[in-house]
Amino acid sequence: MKFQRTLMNIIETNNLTRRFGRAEAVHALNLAVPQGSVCALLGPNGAGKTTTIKLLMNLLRPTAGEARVLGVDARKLGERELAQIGYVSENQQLPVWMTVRQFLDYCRPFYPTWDRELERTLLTQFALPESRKLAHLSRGMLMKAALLSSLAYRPKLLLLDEPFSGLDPLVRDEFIKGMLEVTAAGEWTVLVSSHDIDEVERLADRVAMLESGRLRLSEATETLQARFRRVEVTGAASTFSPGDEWLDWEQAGALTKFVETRYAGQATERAWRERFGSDRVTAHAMTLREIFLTLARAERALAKERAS
Amino acid sequence: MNLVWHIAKKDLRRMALPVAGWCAFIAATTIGFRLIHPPSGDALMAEVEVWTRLMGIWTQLIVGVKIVITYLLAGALVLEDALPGTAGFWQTRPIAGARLLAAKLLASLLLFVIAPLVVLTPLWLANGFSVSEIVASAWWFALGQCVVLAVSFAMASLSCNLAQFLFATLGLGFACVLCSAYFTTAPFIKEVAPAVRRARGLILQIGLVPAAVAVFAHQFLTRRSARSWVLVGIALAAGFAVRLAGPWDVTPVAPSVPPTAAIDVAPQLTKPRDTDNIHYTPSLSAATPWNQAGFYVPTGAWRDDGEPALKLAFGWQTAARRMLGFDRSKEPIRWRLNCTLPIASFTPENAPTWHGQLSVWFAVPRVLGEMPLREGATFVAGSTRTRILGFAKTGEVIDKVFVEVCEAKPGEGDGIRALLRPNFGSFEEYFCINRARHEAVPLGLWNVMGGVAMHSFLVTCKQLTVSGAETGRDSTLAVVRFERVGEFAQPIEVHGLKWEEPR
Repeated sequence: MKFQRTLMNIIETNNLTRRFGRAEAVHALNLAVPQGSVCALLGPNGAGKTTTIKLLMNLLRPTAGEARVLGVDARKLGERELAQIGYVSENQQLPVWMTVRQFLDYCRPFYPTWDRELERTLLTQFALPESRKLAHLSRGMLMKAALLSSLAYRPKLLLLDEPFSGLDPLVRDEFIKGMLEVTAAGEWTVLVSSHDIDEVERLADRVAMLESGRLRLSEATETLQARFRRVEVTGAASTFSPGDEWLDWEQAGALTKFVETRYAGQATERAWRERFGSDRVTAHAMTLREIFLTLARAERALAKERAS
Repeated sequence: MNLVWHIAKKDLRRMALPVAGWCAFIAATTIGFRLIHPPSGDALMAEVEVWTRLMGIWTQLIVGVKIVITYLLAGALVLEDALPGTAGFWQTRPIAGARLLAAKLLASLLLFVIAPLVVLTPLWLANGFSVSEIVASAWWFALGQCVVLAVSFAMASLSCNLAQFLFATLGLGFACVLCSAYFTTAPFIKEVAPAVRRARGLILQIGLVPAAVAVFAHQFLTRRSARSWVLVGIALAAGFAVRLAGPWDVTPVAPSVPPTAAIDVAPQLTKPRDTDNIHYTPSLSAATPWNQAGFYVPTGAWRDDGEPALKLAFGWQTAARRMLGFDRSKEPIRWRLNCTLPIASFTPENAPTWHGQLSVWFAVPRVLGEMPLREGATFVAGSTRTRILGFAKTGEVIDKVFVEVCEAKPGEGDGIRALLRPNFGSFEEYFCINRARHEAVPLGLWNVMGGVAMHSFLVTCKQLTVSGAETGRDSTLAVVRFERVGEFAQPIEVHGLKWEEPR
């Protein structure tokens, strides 16, 4: 039974909590990342994304709850498990006195599965100068070198903590392209944290949203985008109240706008027309960014309401 | 092991340049030390004294710099893969803490022990060190380095970066200075018996290494910095407890069984009628004519000022003269010890019973060499080089001889107190020889300018007095060295006191 579960979810957390003094960075997080998925961990600054990833990597110890990575308690991650995990973080201190070649030569012996062919391919793909010291690389190049050193052994799990931060658009594009090519080639599971939603949208097939250390949602990108719609109603009757599943409710004169969170195709549209008494209802698909912003605003409003 | 070596190799590459510079510093300062000699000629002892003082300051400075550089480089080695924090590269790679620790220890052994020894060994060889002297010198050097490395590893393993490491070091250093000042001056400390006080200091120094090892080993294996700091706290508390209330006297004692039944100690305390000194005069039958005895100051026989109450006072010169062929006697040599306890008020009637422990060393004299009695004359015997610096004369008569002695003293000048070094190693007796007249006049040791030491080289300047002998062109200066070959100890009890009759 346990073996089956491990196959299903590469990452599982159970009420994972981490406090720093009185501040709670992560609160009772229950997250599952299925094998083979590319999961984006989204949230504003301070939402707890980095803390979550550090808890998963045993860089921090949980205050309560537990995390299982590759079927092992994260606190007990050993050499065997770490040899199957790739980790790239914007804050990681790399041995910058090494050249790219020395860096890769240093990393290689730790991984029995290191693929020299893949290393060469990625070196070419990322256009990394082998003889240059890491200290003399640009930030984008440095991130690519870190990514290369985390991909060349074909890890089962790749954890990326804000990998796009500080990269200019061109480098970011190259980086993502490289990522897409690599992940498409293997059965790898990726957890990428970012507040750069547009970029993540191209990568992720699954999204988890964190807000103030709490998990707001976790589902496949496709289903998420399918159930969110921006709705505009013209000439609606003014004698009705908004539904619980509607967010960002706005009414200005004859125009009513809101975001539907449980869109289910024609059935939902039919229900709107009946409710508003108008045929002029239009529903627009939303990007991940729009969904994220909508949820973030709603969360903030709720917090304000609770506080008052 | 391959991965340990792989990580160590990375550190070796990283630290190669600074450590090479550090080794060059060690080599240069040691060579410089050997090349600089005290002033010679008809020099006044004052000039030699000034030279000795300046050299003393210089060597202490060099040793201090060496320790600080070792400490900082070892810290940098650990901080290459910092243990606390969450941004370390190694933490996310398949590198276990034990493996990393093994790699760091291996790298530090190669960089801070083996590399400088590779530099120092040719210098020792070139200066006539014997194999045993090289081994002993290497051992003391390595021991000193290990103490510095252990403390540095402990502090660095608790630091995220160099700034934290330096800050923690400064904090700890400041705390140590404060505690040391307090424990030296506190009135209640002065009430403690000197032997116990010394033992406390000794235990603290010896305990420093295991405490530091426990801290950094725990930190490497668990990366639980808070708990490691608790260990530091426990070690400090234990240190305080030992310093304040340690009841132990750990003064090392010699084996309690005499090595031969031919030795018989019959203690007897005597007092001359005309002085306040008490002479403790045991008789000793020795196994060979060369055997001599020393006296180890026993527990409880220390004066309040920390000086030994009993001192050796008898003629090694008799044995030396026999060795030089000027005394054909085969009789065992008698010896006596002076007791300078302030017990002038004691008389044979009210003298106390005295308990103590007698330690006897056996020393074998060896003629190191002979050289003409003239300025600049030098002879080399093994690692010992003796040179006549000059004379103090009255007219043409020599009153005093100034000599410079450079010799191998393993452990001297390595920045570590030689805790386990025997309190008696060797010493020399000097003779003015005139073979034409069949004279061997002992030279009195008037003054010794404190030893200046660096990396097991010890330079001393001695002022020897000549009396009762005429020195001519045929005269030579002979040096006889007494080296310890054995020892034993036994408890002794002395009852009463008796007047010593004038001889």
